[in-house]
This record gives sequence, structure tokens and C-alpha cells, in this order.
Amino acid sequence: MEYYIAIASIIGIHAMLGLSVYLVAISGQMSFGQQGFFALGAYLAGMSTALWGLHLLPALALGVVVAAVVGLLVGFPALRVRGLYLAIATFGFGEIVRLAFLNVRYTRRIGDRVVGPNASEGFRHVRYIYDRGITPLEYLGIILLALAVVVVLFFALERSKLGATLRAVEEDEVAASMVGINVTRAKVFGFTAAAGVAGLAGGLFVHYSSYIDHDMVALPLAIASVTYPIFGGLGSFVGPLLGAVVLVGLTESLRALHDAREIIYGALIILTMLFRPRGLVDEALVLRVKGWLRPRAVRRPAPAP
Amino acid sequence: MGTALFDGTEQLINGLMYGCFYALVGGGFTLLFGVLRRFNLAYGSTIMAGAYAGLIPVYLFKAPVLVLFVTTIVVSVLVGLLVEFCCFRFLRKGHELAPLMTTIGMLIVIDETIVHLTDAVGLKYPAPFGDESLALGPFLIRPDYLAILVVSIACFSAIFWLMHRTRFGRAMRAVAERPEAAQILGVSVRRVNVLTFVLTSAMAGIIGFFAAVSVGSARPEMAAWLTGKGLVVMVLGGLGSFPGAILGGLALGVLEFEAVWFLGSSYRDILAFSILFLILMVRPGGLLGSRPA
Amino acid sequence: MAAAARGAPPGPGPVSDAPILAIRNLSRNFGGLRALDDVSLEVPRGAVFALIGPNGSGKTTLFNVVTGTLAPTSGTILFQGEPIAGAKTHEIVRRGIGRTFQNIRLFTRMSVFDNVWVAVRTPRGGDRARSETERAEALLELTGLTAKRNELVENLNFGERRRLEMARALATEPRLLLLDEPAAGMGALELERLTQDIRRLRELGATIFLIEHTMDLVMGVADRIAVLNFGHKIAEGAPGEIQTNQRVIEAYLGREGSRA
Repeated sequence: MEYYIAIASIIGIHAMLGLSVYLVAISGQMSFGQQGFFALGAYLAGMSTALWGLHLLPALALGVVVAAVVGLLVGFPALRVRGLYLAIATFGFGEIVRLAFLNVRYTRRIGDRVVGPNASEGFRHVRYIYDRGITPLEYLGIILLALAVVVVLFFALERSKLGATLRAVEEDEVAASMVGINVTRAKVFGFTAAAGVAGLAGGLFVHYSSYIDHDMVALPLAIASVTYPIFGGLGSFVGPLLGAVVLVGLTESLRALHDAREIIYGALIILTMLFRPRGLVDEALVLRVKGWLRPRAVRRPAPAP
Repeated sequence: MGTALFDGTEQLINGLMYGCFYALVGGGFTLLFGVLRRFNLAYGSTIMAGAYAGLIPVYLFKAPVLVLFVTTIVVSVLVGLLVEFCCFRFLRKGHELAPLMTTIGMLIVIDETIVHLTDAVGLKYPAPFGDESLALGPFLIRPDYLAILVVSIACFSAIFWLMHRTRFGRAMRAVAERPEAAQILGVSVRRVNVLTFVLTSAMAGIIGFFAAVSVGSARPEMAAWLTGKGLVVMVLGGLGSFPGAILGGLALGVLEFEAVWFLGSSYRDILAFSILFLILMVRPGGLLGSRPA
Repeated sequence: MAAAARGAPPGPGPVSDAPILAIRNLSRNFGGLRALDDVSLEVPRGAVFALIGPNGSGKTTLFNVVTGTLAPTSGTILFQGEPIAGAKTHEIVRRGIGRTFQNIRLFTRMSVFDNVWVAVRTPRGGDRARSETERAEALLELTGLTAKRNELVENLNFGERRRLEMARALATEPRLLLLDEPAAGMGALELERLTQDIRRLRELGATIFLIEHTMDLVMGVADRIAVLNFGHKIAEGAPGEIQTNQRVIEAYLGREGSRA
């Protein structure tokens, strides 16, 4: 049971990372730097509870806000470049954050423990949920609740004009500006909000694991975050959720095959891209499903030309 | 000569020599990007696969270093062709991110295969150039760095000759500039793509050999490390410019060595990535290039 | 600022004296190449103004500069009396310039409805009474695309795509609509429909500035024609004058006589 709670917790946190990348992707950008915002959220939220004695909720909020503000500051210059250039620039940003935490030391002795970011030793003893007697199952509930809030926001976004605006920007910036869309503002909005989501995931993670270090926010996490939406699909927020569930679930359920596990994972990514370059849940599928769900009465007959 | 000036000069010499190595890595990424207009994120893994495979004849038959060197190159070329076949050949057009993801998939497959086969331990590499530092006037330099310098100059010359004096080179440049036009003029784009993979993978073999020699072992972290440096150099040089990549590699080498000496090693990588980020913001066309469209 | 010009109400009316768009000494270089060389022209309010010229004469470049996709090298552009040269595209669009593209640039991964809906906005003094959804539906109705509203753009034929792009441009409620070769690739029936559409838009008060090669369309709808050649304006006048202008015949009709 413990094991399944752990997997579900990881899925919830990684789904949020996937949604974060997805939000950048639907405004036409690819970020390999969301793990940087994840790290910022984790360190800030962790410091808030472990060093400053804040309650979990304001701690998470602080992590979100700091990640989003940094996202805004990084987004303005970074979004001047696009496509592959931006992919590299964001990865550079992620590495800068990671290497900064590799060097930052801000600790305090609490009881017999050294608490706080401790350079290469990592940030240990984020014991909030243990000290308060929150069980893993209860904490899973908190993670899923947070995920549910994020998902509801995404649901609203996709049905809103803003969502359509982001997708228009993704597809053709010139055409988008030609219908009056402020392309820069749309992209910076997407990037900032996505940074906040990644920060939330980080804050939740550090309290789940009670520990974080720079190695946990390196290239493999960047790759995992990007893989969820691209494998799961860019047609709807369901895509990254599906991606996280399938891929995390898959890697865990293949533990028996543990030698081949990661290799199967890699091969699966290649095959998906060959056959469904926009992922499993792509735009065409989303429209088809919407067609099935729409009540027939609303369909009007074709007017005479 | 003051100590700081002396040390600075010694680091400059070392940095230039090691910068040649970075230039090779960035050059491999750049040639491939120039022709295909796509990133091959499995390039670091191709390098690593060659470096590990080169050890097989050494461990099995106590083969000499020359055999190791040749094996590295041959295996890298085979892996490169596998990457081309799995990740690029059957991709549909118009999806910029798809090759990024397929090569990430390949990176995972190759890296994990190696990790499982070797239990993630580094394998000791021979030191064909000895351990003794050479004296160049008052400065001490490492012999393997000197070998890198010589080999990379040979590589760059060969590539320039290939690109500007041969039919393949002309076809390559034509495809890099205008693939559609090249196709109309009877250049087989696929053939050029495959040959570019062969060329850059052969370079990967050479890189893998020297990477492992300079560290003393073949290690599983090699792929990520080389990918990071390769991307930085490619961006510094302006994506797709081979002379730019050489300049970018030298610049990165010098900067890193000076930074290690004067700031300490923990700042080396953060410096590299800060430069990467700044260059992309300020001069996205690279040191030599103009702003991309 | 010419406040009087800005407040002019849309609606049928005579061609007024104050031009809606005034381009003065406009130049644009690409490296050493002069794509537009000291071009001046005025598009009268309420008119259908056609820009013709051989391929590569700078017509689309002119549209790109007017819409802010490209910055001018020199010169001024006044829209409703206010300078817009160098402004951001979305600001220019919000001031009341809409556009279609020569190579049709729709949002192909979005539904037909979303393509129009995303473009609808309520400008100052616009009709707020109807919701944006209703306005998008009305535009689909107008362009005969209601039956296709839930389709992906991929499933539309060529003529439908052109009409959708027109609907999307109209959704921004432009006072001035730029059409870049709207008849390219159209058959006789579609061409007839397009001619009707342009006339109707004009009756509704829009000013139309179009680039076109199809002389049947240009001569059928244009009030005034300007001719570009190698970035220079070589002639301007009423259709009848242009048809008999010797320089135009040499530069354009002579070369592309088969299409005339």
C-alpha cells in the first residue's frame, strides 16, 4: 500500500510538471527549463516550513510566486528567441538554477539537525509532514487536491478565449498578430503561469520526499517533464496527465523487467513520435471526441450557399 | 612576469588546447544541425557508445591503442547510422519537436544499455600519451591536451577540405542552404543526410576516444556532459556555422580554464551556462553570425 | 492628431476626400536590395483600391510594412490621419486594419469556429450588444461556413479556406481590409462569388486595398489602381487609364498578357 501511495504521489507531482511544459508548449514554445522553476519552488517552500516555520499553504504559495516572478523575468528576454534556440536557452536557465543551488549554503541548526540548503549536501530535513503527523495517504490527498485545482484552471483556460489565443500564437505568430493578438504578452503569460505550476510541483515534492538536491533537478527531470506532454499529446491538458500516468506507471510496473525498463521507455518515445508526432491526444482526436459529446440537436443543417 | 599573469597564460594555453576538444564536439553538433536543421540530442550518446565499445578489444585481446581508436570510430559510425534510421528517416515533416524527442528517446536507450552492461561504473582507459607533463618554455602542458590539439587541427583541415573541395561537400552545403533547390538540381538529400551522419559519427569516435583519455576512463556521465558543452559551443558559434563552432569551442575552453583557476571549479559550469543564456539573448546568431530569421 | 478622421462612422457613403491610408515616400531595403523605393499612394476612404505589378515588384512587402510585420527603412504611413509606421502589428490591427495572406495562413490545428472566434474582439465604439460567440457565428454564416464550424481547417477545400481567412480578417472589424491575391487559384464560380463579396463589403462601408493578378477581378471591382514595378510606383489611376497606360502595358500586361 505504501508503495502505491508513493507512486500515486509521484504521478501527481510529475503530472503537474507535464502540465507546466504543456502550458509553454501550447503558446508555441518548448522549455527544457521547467526543472529550474521546480527547484525554485521546492527550495523556497522547503525553507518556508523548515526554516521559517510557515504553514504549508503559504509556503507553497511563496514557492509558486517566486517561481512565477522568476519566470516573468526570464520570460521577457528568453521569449525573444524561439523554437530550438529557446529550448537551449531554457535548458541553460535550468542548469544555472541547479548549479546555483549546488553552491548556495543557507543553513541553521535546529535541535541536532542542520537544516536548509547546504550546497552539494542538498537540502535535508524538510520534516513538516512528519512533525505534524500527516500520513503519506493524507499527503497524497493534498497533492491530488492541488492537482485538481490546477486541472480545473487548465479546463477553464482551454475553453476560454485566452486558450484559443495561446494556440493561435503557437501555430503562426504573424497570423496571430494579424488578428490583433499581442504575441509577446501571450507568450510571457504562458511562460509565467507555467513557471508557477512547476514551482507548485516543486513545493509539493520537497515536502513529500523531505529532501532535495541539485542532482534531482538535472537533465533527466527536464527530459521527463517534456516527455509527458509530447508523448501524451498536445491537443488537450488530458495529454500530459495521460503521459504522466502511463509513463510513470509504466516505469514502475516494469520494475520486474528492471534491466529493460528505461530502454522500453526510450523506444516508446521514438515510436510515438513516428506515428503520432503531436502525441496520443492530438488536436484531431480532441475535436472528434468533442463531436461525439456534442448533442445532435445543436448541429445545424448546412445553409444554402 | 607576475604570478597571476604567468598562471593566466598557462591556463590560456591549456584552455586553447582543450578548447579544440570542445570545438570538435560543437563542430559535430553544428555540421549535423547545419545540414538537417534538426538537433541530434543522441550525439553525446553516440560519442559515449564509441568510447565504451573501443575498450572491448582491449579487455578481450589486450589490443593496442590503435585498435581501440579504430574501434571507437567504427562503432560510433554504426550507432550514428542507427540514430539516423530510427530517429530521422521516417519522421513526418513539419514537426520541429519530433526529432528532438526521438533523439531523446535514443539517448535514453543508448545510455541505459551502457549503464546496464557496465553496472554504471567507469571503465579505466589507457593513457597512450603518458602522464608526464611536457615543458613548453616555462609552462607545463599535458601531453594528451597536445594530442587533442594536433588531432583536432587535422580534423578541421579535413572537414574544410571535404566541404570546399569535394562533390560531397558541395552537395552538403547546397542541402544546408536550400534543400528543395538542391533536390531539384539532382542532389539526393537522403544520401547527403546519411553521409553527414557518417562524417559526424566518425568525429564522435575521435571525440569519444579523447574524452575518455583526458578523464582516464569511460564514464556514464559523459553523454550529458558532452551534450551540454556541445550545445553551448554550437550556440556560441551561431547554429550551423562550422567556423563559428571552432571559435566558440576555443572561447569556451579558455573561459573555463581561466574561471577554474581564478574563481574555483564550482563556478566553471555555471559560467558556461550563463554565457550560453546571455549569448542567446543578446546575440542569438552567435559570435560570428547575424540574427536568425 | 486628426481626431475628425478617426471618428468617421462606418457605413455606406460617398468616397470621401480624406484618405483612410496615406503612404508617403516609403522605402524598404533588404540588404542591398531596394524592395520598395520611395512609394507614395493614398487609399481613399470607402474605395476599392487595387495594387498590381509583376511578381517580385514589392506588393506583398508593401502590405507587410503597412501591417507592421516589417519595419519601413524610411517614409511615413498615416492611417486615419495617425502615423502607424513601425508600430506593432497587433496595435495596427486594433486600430482597424485587417488582412489576408497570399499563401493563406489559418490556424490549421484549430476548428473553423475557433479560427474566427479568436479574432473577434470588441473595439472602441464597437457593437458590444452581441456576444463574441454570436459575432463569430454571424461571420461563418456570412461566408457560408456554418456547416463546417466544428471541422479542423485541414478538412476544408481551397475556396473554403480563402473564405475562412476572409471571415477571420473581418472578425477584427477592420475599417481597411488588405487582401493579398484573394483570387489566386480560384475557379470561375468562386471568382464570381469573391467579386460579389468585395462589392458587398464595400457597400457595408469597408475600404478595400487589394493585391491581385486576376485582371477580371481587378477591372470588375477596383475604383482605383496603382502599379508597382521593381519597388517603384509607375502609374496610378482609374481602371480605364491603367489599361491604356503605355508603361504599365510594357511592365506588366506585356509580360503577363495571357492573364490580362
